[in-house]
Amino acid sequence: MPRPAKTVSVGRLLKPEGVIFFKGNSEKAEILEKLSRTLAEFNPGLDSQKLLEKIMEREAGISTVLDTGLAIPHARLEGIDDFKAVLGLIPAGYQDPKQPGLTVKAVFLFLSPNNSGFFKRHLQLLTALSSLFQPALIDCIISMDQGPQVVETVLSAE
Amino acid sequence: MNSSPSGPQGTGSLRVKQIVVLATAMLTFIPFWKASAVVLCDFGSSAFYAGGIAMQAFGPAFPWFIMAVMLFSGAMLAVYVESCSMFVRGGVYKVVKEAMGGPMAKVSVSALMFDFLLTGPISGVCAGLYMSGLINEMLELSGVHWAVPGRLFAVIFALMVTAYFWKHNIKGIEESSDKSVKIMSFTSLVGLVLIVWGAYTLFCRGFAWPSFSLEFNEHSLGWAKGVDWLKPIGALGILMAFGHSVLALSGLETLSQVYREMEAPKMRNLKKTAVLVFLFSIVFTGLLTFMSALIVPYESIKTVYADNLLAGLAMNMEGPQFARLILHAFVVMAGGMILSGAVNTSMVGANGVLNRVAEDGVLIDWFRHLHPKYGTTSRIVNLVAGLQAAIILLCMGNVYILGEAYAFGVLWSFVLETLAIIMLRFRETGEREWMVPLNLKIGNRLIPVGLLLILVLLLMTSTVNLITKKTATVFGLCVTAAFCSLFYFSEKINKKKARLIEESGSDEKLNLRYENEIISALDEISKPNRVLVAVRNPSNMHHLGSVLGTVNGEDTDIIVIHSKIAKGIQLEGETVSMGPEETRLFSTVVSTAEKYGQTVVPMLLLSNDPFYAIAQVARIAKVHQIVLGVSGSMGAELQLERLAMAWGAIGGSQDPGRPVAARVIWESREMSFQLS
Repeated sequence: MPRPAKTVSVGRLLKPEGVIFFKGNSEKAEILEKLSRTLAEFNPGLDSQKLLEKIMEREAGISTVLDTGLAIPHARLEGIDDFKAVLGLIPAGYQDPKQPGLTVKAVFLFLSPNNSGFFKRHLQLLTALSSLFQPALIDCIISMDQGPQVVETVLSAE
Repeated sequence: MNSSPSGPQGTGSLRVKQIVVLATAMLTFIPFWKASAVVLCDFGSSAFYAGGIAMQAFGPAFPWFIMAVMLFSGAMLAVYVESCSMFVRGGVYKVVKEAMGGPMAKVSVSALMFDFLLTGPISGVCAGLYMSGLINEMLELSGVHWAVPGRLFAVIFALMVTAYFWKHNIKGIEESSDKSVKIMSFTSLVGLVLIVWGAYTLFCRGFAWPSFSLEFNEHSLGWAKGVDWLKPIGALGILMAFGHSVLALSGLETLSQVYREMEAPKMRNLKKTAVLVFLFSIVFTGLLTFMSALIVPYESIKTVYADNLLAGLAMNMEGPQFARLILHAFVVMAGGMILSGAVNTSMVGANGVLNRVAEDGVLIDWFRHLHPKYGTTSRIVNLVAGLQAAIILLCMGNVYILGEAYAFGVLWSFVLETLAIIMLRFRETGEREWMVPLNLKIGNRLIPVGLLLILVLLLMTSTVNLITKKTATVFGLCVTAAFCSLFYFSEKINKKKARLIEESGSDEKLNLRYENEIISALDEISKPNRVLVAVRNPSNMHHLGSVLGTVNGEDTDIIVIHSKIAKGIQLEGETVSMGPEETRLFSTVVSTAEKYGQTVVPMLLLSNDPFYAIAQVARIAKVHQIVLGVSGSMGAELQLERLAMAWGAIGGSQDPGRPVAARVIWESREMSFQLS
């Protein structure tokens, strides 16, 4: 029987400046590009273009969109030793071409170290994210316009 | 907990909408002693008539030969064990088809059909003769100077029993193994009383061993009577007598039919069943026939008890007459039950074999037409019951004639089965779970000496029977030819259909139950531990096999699900249905479960996302493990990622104190994650 990994705190991964608000209508590609760029800005050494390529590579695989209104695009990278994350909020929502019919209103983009020892933490973060970002929380945070307020709400929801 | 679509406002939903529970696929597996009871209900019933028929054929040496045949049953049981170790859904048709191809398989099944058709009449008539014997005994004791016409009574009784089981099989009421256990318990008790009382009688009276002399009559010599060099001398006479006694082997095919339903560990239980059947046959059929010959005067057997030998044993015991009469009544009750059970087994067996053949597209669909009310293959049942009734009327209650016609199919199906296994030994040299003993290793080859000896004995007996058992040869060949022709022309007509079946992999009929709520579909789940296995590809069942091979079915429910992907998100107006792909997939699931002797709860779900479906069922069923096979297109890591996301989204990680592990299993590898 596999042993449970240590709990991952979603709120502690987020920085207020890592919360991006998308006003009006936005496309998936545009959102992912903006979030990748933001993540690279806060993490010197990360190339936003390469990062986006990695994210899109993963997006080509099995869907990361959930019916709760959350999408979790992510990539496993060499050269990092912990999670790196940003959150995009899209009150107008967007339709993922891979899953038409589902409206995405929150995008939690993250990176995790690409080593087998970290994979269980990676999976645990996915479970924690999908469990935490339920429709009520998403509806609440998309109505906000301040990063710190969002981070605080996420932390208190955990 | 609601399983209906429950996504947030403004978004779609990936939740399960409808579930199909495959009710007929939820096989119940039985322990070895129940399986033994099922086999013995057929195989053991010959104790009531084999001795008498053999005595009429070749005289006082009959108990030696019945015992010899019972000893030989050990060898045939070994052959069946080896064949079952290769094919869970085995039987002569499958084994012969694998080794020698379709045409010979059709011959073997046709020959077997001849014996299925005779088993019902011989059992029904014999039960009637036992009953009329008891009635006459009681009438005589009551001072009534009138006797029930035994054969007429037997014909009427056999027709009534056949009609009863015909109706029974049309309705599709399955004979439970519990009923077989009850019949065999009562029969064993009566047998035990007979043995103990018989031993006391022999102790009081002493005994002389039965004669070895063979006294063939004109009828039992068959065509040999006109050919001097075929006269019964030496070894040839022994073979002739053995051939006339071999009808006692009828019913062994039931072992391969019941193997499918045997619980895990299957092979060990099969071996236990074979040993139990063998010991019971030696004691019940062999010893009781022997005791009858030692206790009942030979003249009495010839004149009064040839058709109901064990009744003769009861009435000739040492003790007061009323006690013997009571014992006689118990013998008749036991005989009535086991022989009537054999009538049913013959009908079920014939129906099963013809259905199995029809699955291969070699029987026209007209026969597989389902009864509008009961959903059974009533036309096959009608055909079998009609032919059995005709045989009962034709024989006019003469059990010896039936006995003379008998054993053609048994012997030739044994010959073909043994030959097929020998051929498979040379063709498929890999490891087997069990092999018939006596194998000689020469270089890399394993020479199956044991099997070859069995084959030689079977071939010699079958050949001698062809000459001496005229009735069996003439009618056996006619019926075999008739069925072979039916199969041949059906196959021609059905060629297109057969191709379709081959493409879809299976034509198994599955009984479906539709549910809108997952919770309602989980009615059958009751054990403390639960494992969910998701299946998608019939060629990728390694993970299911791994679970079935390691999980203790006593305390663990194994839920096997397949999620059918719906078009569109909202699933509006869609209903789940079984297509050829799903039928093939679940047929593979059922045969894998049969192979391991584990019960599974198979379900088909309609969902947009298979991982959501897995997570939802796992949460509602409170499973401890979710097991997936590896997907070639996405890989184990992405599978676990998506499952982790779905698990969190449906709130799976919010259930406190209930650990759930996710495992992806493939050839010699496993990747796992503790979901909560």
